[in-house]
Order: sequence, then structure tokens, then C-alpha cells
Amino acid sequence: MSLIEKFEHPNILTTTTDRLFNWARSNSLWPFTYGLACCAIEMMASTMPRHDMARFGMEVFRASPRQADVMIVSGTVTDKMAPIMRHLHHQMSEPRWVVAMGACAISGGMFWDSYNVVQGVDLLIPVDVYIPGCPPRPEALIYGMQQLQQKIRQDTQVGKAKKLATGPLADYVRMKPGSDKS
Amino acid sequence: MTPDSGKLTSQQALEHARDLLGKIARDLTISDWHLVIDVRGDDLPEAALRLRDDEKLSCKYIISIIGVDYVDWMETLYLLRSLDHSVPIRLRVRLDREKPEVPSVTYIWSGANWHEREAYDFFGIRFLGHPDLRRILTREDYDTHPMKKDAWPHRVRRTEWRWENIEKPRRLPGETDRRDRS
Amino acid sequence: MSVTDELTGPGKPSFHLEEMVLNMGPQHPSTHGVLRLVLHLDGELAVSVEPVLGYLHRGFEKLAENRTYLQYLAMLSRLDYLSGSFMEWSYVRSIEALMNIEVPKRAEYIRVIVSELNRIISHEVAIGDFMLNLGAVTPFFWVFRDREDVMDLLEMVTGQRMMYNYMRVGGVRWDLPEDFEAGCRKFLKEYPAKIDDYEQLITDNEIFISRTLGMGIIKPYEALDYGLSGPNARASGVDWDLRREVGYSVYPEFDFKVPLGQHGDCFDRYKCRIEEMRESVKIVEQALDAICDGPVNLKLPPMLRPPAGDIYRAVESPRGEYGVYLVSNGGLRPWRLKLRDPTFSAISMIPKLTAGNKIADLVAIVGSLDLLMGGVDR
Repeated sequence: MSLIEKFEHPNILTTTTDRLFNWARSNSLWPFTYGLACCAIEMMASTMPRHDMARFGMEVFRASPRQADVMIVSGTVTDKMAPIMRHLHHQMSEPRWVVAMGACAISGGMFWDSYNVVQGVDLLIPVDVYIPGCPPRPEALIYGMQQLQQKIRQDTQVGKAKKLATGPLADYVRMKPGSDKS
Repeated sequence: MTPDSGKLTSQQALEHARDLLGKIARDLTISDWHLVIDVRGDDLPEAALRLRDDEKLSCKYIISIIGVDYVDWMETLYLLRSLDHSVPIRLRVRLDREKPEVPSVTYIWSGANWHEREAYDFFGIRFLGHPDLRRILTREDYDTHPMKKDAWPHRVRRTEWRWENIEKPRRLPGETDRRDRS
Repeated sequence: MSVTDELTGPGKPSFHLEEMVLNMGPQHPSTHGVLRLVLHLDGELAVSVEPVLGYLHRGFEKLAENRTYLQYLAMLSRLDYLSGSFMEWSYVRSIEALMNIEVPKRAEYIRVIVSELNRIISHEVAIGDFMLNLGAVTPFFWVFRDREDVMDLLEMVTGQRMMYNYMRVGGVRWDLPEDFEAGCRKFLKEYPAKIDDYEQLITDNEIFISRTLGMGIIKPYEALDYGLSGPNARASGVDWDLRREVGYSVYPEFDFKVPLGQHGDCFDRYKCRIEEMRESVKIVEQALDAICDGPVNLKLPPMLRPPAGDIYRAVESPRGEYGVYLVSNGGLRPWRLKLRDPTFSAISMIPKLTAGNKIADLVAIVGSLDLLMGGVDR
């Protein structure tokens, strides 16, 4: 007997907004198909019948950054690709998360001393979860995505808003006219 | 690795090439059952044309164009092959390292186009008469030719990497700014 | 004055002459990785197509000059990441030829088995991606489902799913595990039925036929002129396969066909890959029958010093002639390593092949060439 059947009459559930939003966000992650190199094949394999990522609610890969929540950087980022990656990251709407998949995305991997390779994507964009491996197995990717879900569940929107409202950037956040007192 | 599997042995190919090229070929050698033909840069198109159109050595298929930097001089190698016999032919041109220039063979083999662009990108070899000699793999504003021996383009430390050093996204070729359209 | 005159009259910009520039990639699901195509469009028609490469340029050739021969071996399977064993094979073959090393017979058989299994999974992804480009999702799921079986076998042998790092100069890293042969035979017995399934799903499909038949035709002389090789050239009728013509390794012992196409269109390229998968199954079966006992590698020092000289060696990879040109000066590190990738030549043909087609057909043609940017950009 499922939970919903216990309610005989229209009922009210109480929870915090944080929990409600985080529950919804963490269970419907839409990753962005940003396949760069070898790791992209393992990323594809993890959505395929054997390792079915859909079990955890993160299988809807979107080709457009506007529709995606989480960017899985799967592969080596080169100098030529770096501006485009930043651009795509900016195009994703908030809240957005970044997963660095594989050694190349974390630190440049075995190409660390190459003249054309960015030594880790965290030099360019903020990264939430690092998944080591070259390439990481699909199981590792799924575990990493579950870690991201954990992280999202611990997030607080209220606290963040409060911090913004009272912190050093408060005036810019509130956009009060005449708030720049200088 | 059976040298005799083709219809023409390396020695027969060598003798035929000697008759065909005459004085153009400065030296003919057999290295590892490949036929190596040394030519001067000025004679290259003539030699290439004769090799391609000859009935016996019909080198219709270009495998690759390879630049090599031997500190004192540079070389370009044209790896050719005929499908009638399996003796691969290497045309070898020695270049002046200070001013590496060689005539383009794009109009003889269409496939040579991109291989020449790659050799230009890596070594700075100028292919005279090439229709579109631009960088192909590295960034357009890259300042060195990375495969030269005196170029030392390796990254040293992760912390020295700067976002500012990377080129900002550029406008596409042929694209006009939206503001320009009245 | 009519509306049309108002819009297209003298001094007014004409609509039908204006080209639109569309940027396809580098992040685009149907360009196979990070290929970027700059399309000049006239409505739905692509007037000209310009591929832009280099978004995955990792500097493989320069890094080779900074690594010892054995260190560099680990990097090679990252190059063309769907068919890693072929990259390793051509590299170790070139070093073996420079050092005049005779490889133990058992090692050669193991190399053939691993590589042909690898060819199967590479072709599977090629077909799945091609179908995905055409808008068919089911084959993509099927090939990835069946691919896992082969990857289990390869993991059993090499210890990795994709990046094998299995071949060594003078042999392979270690012997086949005990239960490999039984598992492999079971797979080989079941697999042809799965290829039949693909064919039933794809080959006779009306939509597939109408979208690929007569599309993107490559004539035999064009294929040679642009330096195409592998299934792309064989679909045009170019009867050339390094396994048969050069006969490296133990390939002369095996009985296999080289499938050829007739017209060189997208359909033939697909069909060639399907047939090659069947032939690969046959080769692995024969290799399992013929495999002999003995050592699998030679005891060589970890610091290899090949004699000075230059050499070119190639193998027939799933995408065509994969070659390594190696210059050694007798030192610990290669002086120059050139990696010849077949896809590089195939991409250089895209402007000629796709100009004048509609965008939807362009995607089909690009998909049928089986591009993989890891090897192209290096």
C-alpha cells in the first residue's frame, strides 16, 4: 500500500521549502550531452540497457544547454574548446551543476604537459563532483551522480538567499536604486 | 610483413622509377621494402605527376604528408601507394630550415590539401600554391609551430594557467554582427 | 507597387540570395564528438560546408617526444578510443620492425583475436551512431546492449573496458585467461543471430533505404584521390584491404572475404560494416581453432632503444589504414612520431561530398563516414 493511499481525505503535508525543492531537483537531473572524448562513450554506455542510469532519474540527456541542469564534462578540454565550454556553461540556467568526469577533466590527465590541454576544468568553471578514472566505468559515473544528488539534497535555498541578502554583495542583489553610496 | 606479396618487387619498382624519373631523382634507395626517392623541392610536382600517371607505378593514393625536423634541416615525406602493387613509395624533399618552402601538390592529389595544412601548422612549412594554407589543429592565434624542435610549448605548472591567455570566441567566417544589419 | 517589389526592388536586399551561416558543433550530438561544421545555407540547402578541426587536439605527436617508448604505449588507445588495440598494434609493429624482433606465434594470434573483437564493437558503435543521426533510436540501444558482451570478454583479457594497453613490444602483456575461450566461443555462436537482428531492423527498413540509397556517392577514383581507406573506400568498390594485400601478422592463414560495395553511397558503407562484422566473427573463430601454445611475450628491457632509422607500418583498423611513421635516433624517446589517421582523410572529403545537399542528408552522410575526432585531432 503506497503512501498516497493512506490519505482518505484531501490532506496537507508539511515540509520545508528546501526539502521540497531539493527533493524535486535531485531526482530529475537532466544532464547535458557534452561528450568530448573517450569518456563520452562510457557516458553513453551508462545510459544504455546494462547500466541503466534512468533508475536514478538522470537519464534525460539534453542536447541544448538551456534545458539541462548538470553538465558532465566527459573528456579532455583543449585550449580551443575552453571558450566554448565557458560559453555553454553560462548558457545553462541556474541552478546548474558541473561534474568533471575522468582524469583529463580533473587535471589534464595523461596529457597534463601538452601545449593545448587545459589542466582541469575547475580552472574555468566551478566543479561539484570529480569522478576519477581513465575513463571511469559507468558504475563510477552513476555513483558520482548519486553523490551529486546527495549534495543537492543538502543544499539550502533559503540560507543562500539570506546570505546574499546580508552579505557583501547585498546591495547588488537587491538592486536598490541609489544603493551605491560612493 | 611479406615483401613479396605484391606484383612488383621493390627492386623492380626502383629500376622502373629510375627510368621514369631520370635526372629528377637525386637518389633512389630501398628502406625496409619501401622505395625512397629523394627529389629537390623544385622538381617535386613533376616527379609527383609522373609517378601518379605512370601505368606501372600508378601512385593514385596518397597516404600522408609528413614533416620531420632534424634540427639542421627539415624534410617533407610524401607517402604514396599504388593499389596494383604493394610497394609504398616515399618522396623525400629536404628543406632549408630557415625558410621551409615547397611547392604544393594539392592539384595532383586532392587529399594532400589537409595534410599540407597540418604540416604547415606543426612545422611552419610553406606550401607554395596551396589554395587555403591556414592552421588546422591548433588555435588560429597560436604563436609557434609546436612540433619544431626548438619550440618548447609544454605546460609547466597548473597554477600558471590563466584564463586570460585563451582566445575569446570569435565571429564565424562570413558571419556579420547582428548590429551591422540595418 | 506589390509587396514583392517592395521587398526585392532595386536597392533592397534580395531574400533568396542571402546566405545564412549556421554553426554546427563543436557541441552537437550528431557530429560524432567535437567536429564543427560551418554551413552556408540557402534555405534548407547547404551551399558550402567547411569542417573546423582541432577541438580535441591534445598534442599526441609532441608528447611522444617527451615519453619513453613504453610510456607512450599507454596513451595510444586514447587516440582512436573506439578501436584502441589497432593504434597499439601499429605502434608496436613499427618498433618491432625497427628492432628486428620476431614476435611469438601465440602472441600474434592473441593480437588478432583482441583486435577483431575490437573491430566488432567499433563497427557496432558506428552503425548505432549512424542510425541515431537518421533519427532511429532503437538500434543505438541494441548495439550498446550487445557491445557490453564483447567488452566483458575484452575486460577479461586486458583488464579494461576500452583502453586496453595490452600489446607490448614483442608480444602482449599477459596470456589469455582460462575461461576466455569458452566465453568467446559462446559469444561467437550467439552473435551472428544478433547481426541478423540488426539487418532485420535496419537494412530492410523503407525509411532507411530511401534516406541512404544513392546519397553521398563516392566514386572509386575520388576515394583514392582523397586517400580514403577502410570500409569507406571499399564501399566504393576499391578492393584494398591491408590484411589481405600486405598480409601482416598471421592474417594470411585465415580465410575471410573483403566485402565490397558497388555504388559507394551511404547504404553501401553501412552494408560493408555489417558484412565486416560477420567476417570478423569468422576470423576470431579460426584464430581460436589455430591458436598454439607457447610464450606470449619476449623478455625485453623496459627502456627500449631502437636503432636509428625511420619506418612506416600500418594496420587495417575499422576506419581504414592506420599508420605510424617513426623516426628514431637511437635514443630512449622517439625523435618523431607521425600518426596517420584514416578519418582525417575522410573528413577532408566532407566539403565535396555534402555541398548541395539538404541538412538532413548532410547529417546522414557525415554519419555514414564513421568519424571519430579523437584520432583526427590527435
